[in-house]
Amino acid sequence: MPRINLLASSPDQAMRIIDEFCNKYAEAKNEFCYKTRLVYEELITNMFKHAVKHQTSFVYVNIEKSNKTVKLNLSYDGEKFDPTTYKDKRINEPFEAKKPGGLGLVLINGFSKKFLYTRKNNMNNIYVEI
Amino acid sequence: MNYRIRGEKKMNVAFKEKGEYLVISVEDKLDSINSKVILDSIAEKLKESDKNVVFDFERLNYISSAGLQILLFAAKNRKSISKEVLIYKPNAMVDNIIKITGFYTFLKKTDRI
Repeated sequence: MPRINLLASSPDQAMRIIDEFCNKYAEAKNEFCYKTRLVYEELITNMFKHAVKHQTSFVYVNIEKSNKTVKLNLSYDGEKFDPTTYKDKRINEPFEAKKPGGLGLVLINGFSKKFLYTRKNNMNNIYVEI
Repeated sequence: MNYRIRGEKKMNVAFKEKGEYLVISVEDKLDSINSKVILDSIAEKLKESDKNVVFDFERLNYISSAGLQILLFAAKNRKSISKEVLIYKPNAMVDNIIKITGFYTFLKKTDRI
């Protein structure tokens, strides 16, 4: 299971995990892989930007493909950090008031069948089905 | 203007003026890995230009929220001088992403450059 050290790695390095997954399934350019890469990118970017403020230092990544579904698990340390509860109301803001940020969760919710959070044994867990 | 990212992967952004439009062509991916360098290059170019902007996405395979921030930046920048931003030939997924994030409320699609 790949482990990303948020304090020592870069988002670029973290993205290689999903690019290898897409290459493995030779679907790098199709819609299925697009959605998987997108959801992964938005989650991992969120980790680098926000989870680190909650003392998160590492993330374990597990990706499995079965039939037409990808199951993505992210387990990370630190304080409770639940991105699934974040409701971004900025999508409805008028253009003039729009500010950078917050779109990632709109995309995750838009492209996932399930987006769940649990906390167990002092670890945060995100489960996404795409 | 070309940028090479990560050594092995090439990410291009190119600028071309055509009449009243500045055409910005982006190839391959527009994501969290390359959006900063692309944004910087576009911001620099927009400083010199008073034209409308067309993003030529014919060769763009992938966009994430990081790429959308560039569109938002460009749209706000052009609006400040009463100009518009158009999107040319996004693929189905890119088009869907622009749609579900509500960006077509301030961006228009065009079928010609």
